[in-house]
Amino acid sequence: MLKIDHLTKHYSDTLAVDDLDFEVKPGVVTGFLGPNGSGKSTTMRIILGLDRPTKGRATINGQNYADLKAPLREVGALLDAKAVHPGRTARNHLRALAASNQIKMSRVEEVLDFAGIGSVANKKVGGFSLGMSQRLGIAGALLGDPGVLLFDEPVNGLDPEGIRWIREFFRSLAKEGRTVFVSSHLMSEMAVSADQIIVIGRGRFITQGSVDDLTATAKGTVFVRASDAAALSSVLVTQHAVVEEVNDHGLSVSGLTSDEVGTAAFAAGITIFELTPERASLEDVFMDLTADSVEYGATNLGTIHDE
Amino acid sequence: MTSRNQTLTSTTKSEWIKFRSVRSSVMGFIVFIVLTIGLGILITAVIRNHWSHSLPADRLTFDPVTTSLAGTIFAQFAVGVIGVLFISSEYSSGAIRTTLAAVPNRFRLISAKLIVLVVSMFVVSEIVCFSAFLIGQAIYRGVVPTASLSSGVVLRTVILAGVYLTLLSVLGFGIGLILRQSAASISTFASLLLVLPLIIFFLPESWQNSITKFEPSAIGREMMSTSPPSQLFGAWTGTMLLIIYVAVVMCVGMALMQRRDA
Repeated sequence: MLKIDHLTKHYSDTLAVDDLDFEVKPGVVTGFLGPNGSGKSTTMRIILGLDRPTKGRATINGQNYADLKAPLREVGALLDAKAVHPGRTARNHLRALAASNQIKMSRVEEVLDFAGIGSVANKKVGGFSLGMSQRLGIAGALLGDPGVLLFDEPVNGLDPEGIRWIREFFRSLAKEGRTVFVSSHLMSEMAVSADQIIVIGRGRFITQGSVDDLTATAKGTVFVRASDAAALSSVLVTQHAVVEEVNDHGLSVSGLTSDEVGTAAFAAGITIFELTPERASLEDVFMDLTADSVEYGATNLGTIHDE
Repeated sequence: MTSRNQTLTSTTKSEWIKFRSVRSSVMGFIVFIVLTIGLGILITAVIRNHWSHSLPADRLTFDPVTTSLAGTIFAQFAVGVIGVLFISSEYSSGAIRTTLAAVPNRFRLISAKLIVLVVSMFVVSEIVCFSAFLIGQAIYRGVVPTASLSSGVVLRTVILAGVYLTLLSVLGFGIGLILRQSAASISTFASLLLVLPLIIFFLPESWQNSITKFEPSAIGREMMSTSPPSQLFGAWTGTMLLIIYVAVVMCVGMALMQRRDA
């Protein structure tokens, strides 16, 4: 099990991680979601003991990473697929890793084949595509048959076939009872590959839950088409709804349920042609949750055209 | 069943695989060997051919050991670069993060790298220096006065030549550990050997005499001479001084390594 305990990390003048506190449980795939620059990679680096936390700590089965007797046997990590010496062959890279943690050399051949890079094992890593490097990183993470696995943006650079392969791979790892912690900035990716999701923004914890939990908490909108849209709009506003005109007869209402909209229309004597509750998509939920915490957000296109 | 915990032995084994599986170290060693032995042959052959025309004063100060080891003056840059790249390439490629994830104990990691570097460098350096010496004496034989390893001073000088090169590679490694960038580290290393003497050359002569003997390249002359000039330190004092330099640089590098984020 992986535990993040009131973790804070300052770099000279930026606060990268701000009092993060959560647990990642075994047996499920846990997604670690946040916009670019929200502190996901920093958190991963601290878990692996690469960066020192300013406050708090990250523990694996109750221990600091640095205190693990043979870390690759307990934690497998893929942080940056290109973080290998470009002049070394894939096989030698893995052999060096195996030797450092007293892992049998036969295991190197196993993971090479499993990751599907057995045929390029004697090629220099510098010539690898990003997808091949990701596969080498996955081979390295599996080398010690660890119970905890960390993957930072593993889907980047993979082709569709590779993406499907990696999703099934995460599931099978979790099914074997391992702790699987996968970061991504893509909600759509997490929605299909993760069971549990932890959302952060600007280094701060935002929310945590299953994919269904997250969509349930998000407020959906109600689309309503009525005989007198303008009149209905003024009625709904008095009930503290936020109303947006969609077309001549249609309104998008948030803050009220479809039942409440229907009741209000009936009371005001307005005929309703259509009443549709619209559930928020995961993408909407994510945008909603992290709207305030996007570090490099694009400005509204409208304001650019105004100038 | 043996313990499956990490040890200095397992880390050293891993670093040895890494050291010999990249071209930079292999090429570095080839350049080092070719330079030292090749230039030794060239220089001793030239001396042999001109011996009959040489001045009596030159003949008086002639040192058959130092001249046969002259290639080391060039080789010292090759060994420094090998040392620098052994650590700086980890940072330039980002591989240091993979390395530290596998071996989180930074002191053990650096110790293992040092063992690999010192052992391989010492073995190769001694083989190269003894070869250069023996080839040089073979070229001198019959024309130029030769030296023999049966003399204690000669033996000491050849051995210390290898020690000097080994220490320089560790100095390069220490600089690489501090600066973490290949280009900056290599130029700093080269400056210590080349630019420092130039700066000292522009100082008043009385200062020069008291400072020169402390600079690394002068220490090299002290270690690789059967009879160092009187204004320089003796061979053993020079060796101790260089060991202290290297130790200080390594301690600074290690302290920074323990504190910095990878």
